[in-house]
Amino acid sequence: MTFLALERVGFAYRGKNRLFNAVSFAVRTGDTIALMGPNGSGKTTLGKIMVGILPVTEGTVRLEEKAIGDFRLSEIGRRIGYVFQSPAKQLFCGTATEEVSFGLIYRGWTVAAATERARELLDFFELGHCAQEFPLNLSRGEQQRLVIAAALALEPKFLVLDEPTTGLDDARKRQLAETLLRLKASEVGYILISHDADFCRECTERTLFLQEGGVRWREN
Amino acid sequence: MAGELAAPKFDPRARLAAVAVLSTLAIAIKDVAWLAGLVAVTFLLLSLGRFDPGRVLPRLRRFGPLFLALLVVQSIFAPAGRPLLTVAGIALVTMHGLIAGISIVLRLVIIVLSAAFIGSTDPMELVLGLVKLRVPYEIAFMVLLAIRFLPVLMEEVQDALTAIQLRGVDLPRIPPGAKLKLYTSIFLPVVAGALLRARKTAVAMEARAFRAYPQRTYLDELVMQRSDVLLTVMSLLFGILYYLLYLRR
Amino acid sequence: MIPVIEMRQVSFHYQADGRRILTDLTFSLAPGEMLGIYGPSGSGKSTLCLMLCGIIPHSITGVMDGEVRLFGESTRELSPAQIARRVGIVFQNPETQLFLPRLRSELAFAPENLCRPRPEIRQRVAEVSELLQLDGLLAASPNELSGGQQQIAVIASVLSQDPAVFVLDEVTAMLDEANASNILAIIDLLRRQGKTIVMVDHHLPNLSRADKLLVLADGRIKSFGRPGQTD
Repeated sequence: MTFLALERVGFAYRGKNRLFNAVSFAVRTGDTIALMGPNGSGKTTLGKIMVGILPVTEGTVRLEEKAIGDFRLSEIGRRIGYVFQSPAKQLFCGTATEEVSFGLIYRGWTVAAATERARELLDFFELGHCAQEFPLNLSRGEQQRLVIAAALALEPKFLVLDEPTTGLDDARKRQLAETLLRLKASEVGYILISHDADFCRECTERTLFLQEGGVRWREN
Repeated sequence: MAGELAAPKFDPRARLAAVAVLSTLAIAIKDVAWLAGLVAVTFLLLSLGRFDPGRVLPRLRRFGPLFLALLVVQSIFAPAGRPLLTVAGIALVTMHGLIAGISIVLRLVIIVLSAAFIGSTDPMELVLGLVKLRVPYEIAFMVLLAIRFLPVLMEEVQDALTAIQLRGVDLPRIPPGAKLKLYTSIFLPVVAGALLRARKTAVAMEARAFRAYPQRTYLDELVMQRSDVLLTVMSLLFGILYYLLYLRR
Repeated sequence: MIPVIEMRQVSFHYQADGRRILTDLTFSLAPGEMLGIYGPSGSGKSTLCLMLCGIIPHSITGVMDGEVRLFGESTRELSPAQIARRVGIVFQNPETQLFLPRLRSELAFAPENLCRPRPEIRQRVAEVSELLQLDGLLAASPNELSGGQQQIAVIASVLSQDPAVFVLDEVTAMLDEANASNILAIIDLLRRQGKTIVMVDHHLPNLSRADKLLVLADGRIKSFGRPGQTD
């Protein structure tokens, strides 16, 4: 089944040049895709439209065959996790454990059950040693993995990550790549928005190039 | 800036003088009719700056809910004079209370519109103007940076609210108490982000020799034209006259 | 010949937690040379950059042992103005380094702070904008520029303070390949102008153009020498 489908999506910020025009593509759950393009081509904007953060003004975006505008952001978050370029923007809690259990407690889980699930996720992402740490004190790489863990607590089928390698050295990039490949093995698909060609080639099956207002595919 | 059609470039000092006079009068005057007159003068000032009223009015509309809330609160909590609305024998809204509420709203209108007159100043000219008025240049640049980074801060708040919703929190539908608690929790990443950004900008500025000396040169010059002197003098004269007439009403 | 940069047994830690960021750094750089600095996150590269441009110790306090010398003079004894005339620094994110409403104001900012006369500032702005092909964009707001143009604008605004030394802290990290190449070409241009360059980068191939490569690990020098011999 098509999980996410964009049909002739276009966008221009008010009073500015058009970013892209008539972008169409579809992804299935489990797909791993890179969205690449030069600085200023609109990759982040397209990512935000895909996830419903920015409204669709031209064309259509369908999530699980329903118009994305019919979902509330909280409902989208249970289907697609989104990681901002700056992970610190998404950290609100006093400890890493609270960060991961936050969404579960809001869904009605007991604190004990949510904390247990948080612990499992923290271990999966090699953050067990940070469980009681203040999230804003963690390194960028750790913050990133923490945000992914917190997003995955809601068991979305897909992730969108915006420029995840910015600020990461080679060792931490490798660690992130391993994390993503483990997600892939768990059948969680993702879209990487990035200008890092090597990283995208390693972690994804196909690349979508956003260039001169349009898109084209390439197998990795 | 949106709202202007080739506005005459009033010197920021002249603008500040005009706005200072209007704001001072707005605070000193309590009579509704005289405040309404002051609103008319403010619109006149904006027309001198060639502001398109069609663009200025939406700015006021944004404050609509606040104005209404203030009007209601003042009407209820400053009762005096003829009762206009009585509930269970209690005069809930009175003529005096209503008038007091309208006065407050008019004051705010003057201040919001005056801010538009200042806000259309070129930021670097504003810095120059403040420095010429003997404001320390560090403070003048702080004002400029605040103007520059306010939209960035608003964007950070929006990002944080988006992030919370993407964690499964249905923000528009949760009760006010829970909503307040959540707004408090986003305070953390927003303030942390703002502080980090401020620190980085401060380092970049100091690396480019900001505050290396007590004074600094300015590439651009600010020279008051005849129109600026006229605006300043007329503003001061108007202020004195208006207030004297108000006192003798 | 006096080295442009000299670090003599430099160690540093912030007062708050006492954790050593840098330990016992000693190296020197001759005029016109380029030093590449490589190392994992947390190895102290950015702190080293802040020391080279005098932000540590003048603006950021901590406990600094040893000495950082610029043209033979200690940064502790030089004033911030004297250091700014010798060293300019460009960081990773142009958004936090461009804060004025127009590009022209950004280029004028540093010489204004250094109290240069108006005609000299005008000339510097014109020269720098022409050199980096920004002359058509002087009236533009930095917000209107693309990411690559913004980073060039930051380099231009530092170039206008006419430093002999450029410190570049991961300046290509947020740029795509094409824009990163542009920046590297500008760095080569600065070298041809005789500037001494210190460049931090996560991407080792970008540092292959350096005369010397310093590899940091846990705040200590892991290796120092010609690229290819150390990595």
